[in-house]
Formats: sequence, C-alpha cells, structure tokens
Amino acid sequence: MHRSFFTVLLSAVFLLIVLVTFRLHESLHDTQSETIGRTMQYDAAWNGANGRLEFYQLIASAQKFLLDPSETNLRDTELRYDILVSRISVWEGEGFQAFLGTRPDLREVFNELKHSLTDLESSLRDLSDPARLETFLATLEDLKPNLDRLASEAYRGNLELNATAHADLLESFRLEALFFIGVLSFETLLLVIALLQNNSLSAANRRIRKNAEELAFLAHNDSLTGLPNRDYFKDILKETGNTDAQDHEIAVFALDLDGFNVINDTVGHSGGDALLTAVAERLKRRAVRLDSRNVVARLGGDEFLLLVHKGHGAPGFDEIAGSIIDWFSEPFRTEAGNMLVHASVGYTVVTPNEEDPQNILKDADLALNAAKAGGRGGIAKYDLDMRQLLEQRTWIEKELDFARWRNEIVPYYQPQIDLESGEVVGYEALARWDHPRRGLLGPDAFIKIAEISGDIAWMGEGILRAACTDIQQISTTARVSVNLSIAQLVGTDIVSTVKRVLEETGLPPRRLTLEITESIAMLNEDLIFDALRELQKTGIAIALDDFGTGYSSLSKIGQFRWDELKIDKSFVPENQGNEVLFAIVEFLRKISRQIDCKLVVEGVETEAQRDLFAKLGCQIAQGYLFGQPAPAWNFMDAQAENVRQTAGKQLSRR
Amino acid sequence: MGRLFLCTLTIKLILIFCAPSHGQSGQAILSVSGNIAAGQIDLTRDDLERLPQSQIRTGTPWHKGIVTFEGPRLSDLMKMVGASGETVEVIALNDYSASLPFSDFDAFNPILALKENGQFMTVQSKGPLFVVYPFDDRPELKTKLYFARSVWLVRALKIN
Repeated sequence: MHRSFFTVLLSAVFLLIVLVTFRLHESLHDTQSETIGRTMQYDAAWNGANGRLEFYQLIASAQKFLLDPSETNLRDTELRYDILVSRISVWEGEGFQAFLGTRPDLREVFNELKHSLTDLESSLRDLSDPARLETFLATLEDLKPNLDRLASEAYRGNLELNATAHADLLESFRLEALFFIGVLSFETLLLVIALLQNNSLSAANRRIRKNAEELAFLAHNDSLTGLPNRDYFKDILKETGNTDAQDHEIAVFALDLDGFNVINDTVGHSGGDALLTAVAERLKRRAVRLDSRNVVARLGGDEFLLLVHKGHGAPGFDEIAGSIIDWFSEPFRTEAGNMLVHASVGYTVVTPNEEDPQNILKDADLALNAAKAGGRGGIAKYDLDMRQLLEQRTWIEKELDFARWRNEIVPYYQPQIDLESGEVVGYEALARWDHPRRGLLGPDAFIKIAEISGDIAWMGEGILRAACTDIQQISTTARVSVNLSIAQLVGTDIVSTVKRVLEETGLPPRRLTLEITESIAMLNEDLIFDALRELQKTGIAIALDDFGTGYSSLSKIGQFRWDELKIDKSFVPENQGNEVLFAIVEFLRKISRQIDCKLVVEGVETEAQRDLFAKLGCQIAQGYLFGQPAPAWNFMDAQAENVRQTAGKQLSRR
Repeated sequence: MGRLFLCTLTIKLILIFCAPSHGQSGQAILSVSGNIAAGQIDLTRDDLERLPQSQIRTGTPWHKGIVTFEGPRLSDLMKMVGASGETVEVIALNDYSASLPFSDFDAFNPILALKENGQFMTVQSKGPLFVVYPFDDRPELKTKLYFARSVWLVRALKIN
C-alpha cells in the first residue's frame, strides 16, 4: 500500500518535472533564438562607418580637384557627393532611424548634417571657382565632427546591443546549464531511488527465497528431529528406485520404539521429544555408517523409516535388522536424563517391479506390526501373507457394514457344566459371523477389526441383547456369559446399555455374567472398574477371562472382587498333567476360595481332563466335551428333547 | 541545357542587333565580367529593361515604409550574359562589394532593381541599380547576411 502510493507520487513528480523541463527548454530556446536574431539584425554601426568613409572619400576627391581641377576629378567629386547623399537617404531609412530614435541628440546632429549637405548641392555646380571650392571644403570640414560622432555612436550603440545580446545569451546558457544540472541531479536521484528499490526488492526476494527454502524444508522434514518426513522419504525412495535398484538391493525398514507411550507418560512430552531426537541422531549416524546412501526418516510419533542400501558382499538385511535392534542396547543420553528404550523392526526388500513407494511403506509397516506382535525387540520381514491379511482385514471392515443390516453376527452358545452335579448351569455366548459366502467366521477373524473400526458398539450390544433373549428360551435357570471388549468398556456407556438391555429383554441381572479379559483388567483403568462395580451392584456377575495368559501377577487379582476366574485353556494339559500344573491350579483354587469366586476351566475336551479339574476343585467346566458352540435353537430343541435327562447322561452318550 | 544555350544565343543576337545607342539611356551602367560567355560585357539601362521586369514590394532597413522595386531578376540576367559559376561579386560605386551565391537567385528571386516606386533610381537615391531581396515575403531574409548582400549603387558584377 505504502509502496504503491510512493510509486504513484514518484511518477507524478517525474511527469511534472518532464513537463516543466519541456516548457523551460522551449522558453530558453525562444530566448536564445530571439537573442541570436537580434545580433543578426540590421547593423547601424556598419552603415555609420561606411557613411563616414564615403564622407572622407568626398573630401579627398574635392581636395584632389583643388589640386588638379580636371574634368575627371570634378566628375569624381560629383559622384562622391551623390554617393554621400545616397548614404543620407539610407540613414533616413527605418534601420538607422530606429537607432537615432533612441538618441534624440544624435537625430539633431543627423538633421544638421543632412541640411548642410543639401545646401552644398548648389555649390557643386560652381566648383571650378576656387573660392567656392574652398567654401565647399570648409563646410565639409565643419561637418566632420558630426559624421565622426554619428559613426562612433552607431558603433558604440551596436557594441551595447551586442553586449546585451551576449549577456542575454550567457544568462540563457547559464540557465540552461542550471537546468541541465537539475535534470541530471533528478535523474541521478531517480537512479539512486531505483537502485535502492531494486536493493530492497532483492532483499525481499532473498527473504522470500529463504522462506521458501525454509517452507520446503518444513514440508520435507520433521520439525522435531530434522529428519525427512514421510512424503520426502517417498520421494527419495522413488528416486532411488529409479536410479540405483539395478546394481544392488535396497530395503525399507520400519521401526518403532517399544513402550514409548509409557516413557512419555513418565518423563513428559519434552522428555519424550528429547528421546526421539536422540534416537533420530543415533539412527542417522549409524545408518549412514552402514552405507552413506542410507536415509532415515521420521513418520511421526515414535515411528521411523530407514532406507537401507546393500551392496555386494554386505551382510543380509536380516543381519542389518539385528544390528539396528542392537543400536538400542545402550541408553540414550538426553537433557531429560539417560533413557533405555528398545525397538521393533519390520522390513521389506524393495523389488524392482514394485514402484509405488506407498505400497513399499505399507509392506514395511505390516512387517513392523508382525514384529511387534512377536514381542519386544522383534524383527520381521515382510511376506505376502501379511498383505493378504491386510486385504482380508480391509475386506472385513467393508463387509461389517452389510453384516449389521443383514444381522449376520449372532451368538453361538457353549454350555457350562457344574462339575459336581454335572448339570448345565450356564452358556457362554460367543460371537459368530454367519457370512453368506465365507461361511461361519470365528471372533478372531473380526472382533479386533470391529474394535478398531468402532463396529464393536453395535455388535456388542446385539450379542448381549440376543443372549439375554435366547437364554430365557433355552433355560429358566441357566446363566448366560457375554464377553465385553475393551472398546465397549471405554468407548460406550456400558452401564446404561447393559441395564437397558436387561430391562428390555426382561432377564434378571443375576442370570447374566459379563466377562472381561485379563489384559483389560491389567490396564488398571479406574473408569473400567467403576463401571464393572456399578454393574456388579445390580447383581450381574463379573468374570475374569483368559486368566493366566497375560503379564499379570497374581497379586492383581485382589484389586477387584471377581465373581468368576476363568482359567485359560492353555492350562488344560493334553494328558495327565504334571506337578507344576497341579500346584498352580491348587493355588488358584485357594485364592478363589479366599476371594469367594468360582473357578471355571475352559477347553475341556476329555473326560480325563474333566475329572482332573473336578478333583483339583474347579466348580465349572466348559469345552467340546460338553458341547461345541451352537446356535440357540440347537439348545432349545435339545432342551425340549432331553428336558428330563441329566447332563451327565448327555455327556456319557457323546 | 539546350534550352539555356538557346536562350543565351537569342539574347546575344538581340544585343548584337540592338547595339547600344547614345544618350542617357544608352550609357552603360553595368559592367559584367568574369565567367561569362563574352568574357566582359557592359550593359545599358535599356539592355536591362529588355529583360522581363519583376516587382518586389517590401520594406527595407534603408527605406521609409513599403517600397515597390522593379527590375530584372538576377537569375534572368545571369542567363542573359551566359554566366556559369558559384557566386557573383556585386560591386558598388562606393567600392563596397558583396558575394552572392547563385543558389540565392533560384531560392529567393532577388532582382536588380532599376526603379523605386516607378522612378529610375539615381546615384543620390541608391541607384542606378539596387540588389533587392523580397524581405517582407521571406522574413527569414531579414538578417545581416542578406542585408549585406543587398548592394546599392551597383556598377559591376563579376561572375566567379
């Protein structure tokens, strides 16, 4: 705004100066022409001088005649007289009169001269008479001063005229010089301004370029570590694939830090950032030491990408993966203190026919997921199954939408037997997906995906509602167990959902058991336990599922008053079992007694196993021995058919 | 060229057959010399009057008011005497002289005036011949240069 105003002002001033310059120049030019013209005008001095000369020639001629009174001399004297008269007539012309007009004193001199000369004309006829000639000469002699004066004054007047013209011209030239200097100064000023502006433009240009470079750096690099970001990494990958792939192999490693969230929670975000910076530095240093062409990028969070080149004779990528894991064996020194963190690494070898960096990154990420699934410090190499798994997953996510509206996800029930009485005391509702083309899918195939996609909310509620309804048709006394997923507990208002479903289906709360896995319980989330307690108050039983599989220590069992502990099926021995197992189960039985909860065993497949756990003190058992998971109608029919038969007889028939 | 030659020849024949007569009008008033056909020739007022007469009405610094001058064009006179050259030196009775370029004759058509306001000019009135440029018609002539070429009391021409 300021700049444009300045430009307009400058232009206006410039235009004004050009106009003034033009007018001034014109006027100067006119003055000079006029002045020069003046000096070229009629010259009275010249005229005066010639007149004086003619006068003296007349005198000379007359004197000659006096000495030699010949006819020729007489004629000459007459001619000289005529010439002088002619001169007088010239002096009567406008040019000389203009000069005389400025000098009244000279006009008198001229008039006197003119009259005296006219008077002499008559004497001219009698010049042969010496006396007349004498008078003639005397008169001329008297006129001498007049002519001298006229001539010299005319000359002086002309000098003055010329002097004035000269002065005028000088003044005009001086003005022109001044004017020229002015224009030159102004132009210099303009030039300086233009240069300054150019300078500031250059500076602005430099600033803009610097900003653009910074922006480009920001766009290409991670602001925390300065490492390339995902997009830039992809560009580099594409470039590398285009040029280098032929003579050696390259692989993309995806890496993330194990338990980084815990570190972040412990040392705060600044500490976490300090760790990430230190990790980035070490990764880059070591990666470049392996091969100068290697590139390290940060995806965000605690995820890093490495582009690794492998020349001939270099160690294999698996070895390189191993050494990358080793880079984390020493603590990282940061401002927030020394920190030890481990990493998991997944990698994929870039094949020449895979050109899309996006796919390569996806493969590396899949491999990383696989590596993490294998526990801390894991290494995995991408293989095709991983992508198929991913494709399966994507497919399921898409299909879940249809499943909801086609009501394809239904509970199957597996009976639970009281080991003392042998009666069916409950059923565990297990989610099954009755897919029209794929057939029956177990929960492993879709529950985790549904948890991530959020489909678990409607799915969980659907299973719960179906279970609460079905159980009342299957039995009048048996309980039903329904699994709760972490997503239901955290993401939804589970308490009111359960209460509402119970109310709507009319199932008494005491007939419902909700199972949560040990891994959920170990999260130690107060909110989860608050919800569970709330549900427990209404009479619903809460079971700890998959007990013994996670990282949990036994002491944690005491944190909640569990109604059931479900021993994981991995504890069920194939044969007779051993002393250690017995000791563990015996220990669990004691605990369960102490905290007043039932001990349930899953995966019982043989009578021997049933007898074993019965002997060890488990109250309830579940497994193929007592029946595979089956749709509700199966049990309704069975119940009608065997309404008076005991469960024991049923079992023995199998 | 042929035309100029023919014209010159014609004028010469005229001059031969009309030999200068005596008396006031028969007296030679102009002597032409230098680079001309005849080498040197004296012309009377009659000779000059036989050429086509031209008038110039103009004011001059040497006269009062507007004056009508009459006389032959200098260009015609040059043709008549078969002059060839660059300049004409015009010489006056008072020994004043000026050099007139031929180019002036075609550019401005100056005349060698015999008459001023219908009267033959005498020596006392800047006669008998007066080189007159058309100052009023061509104001650019009003400079010292052309004033100096305006010779009065003309008595001779010398073609250079």
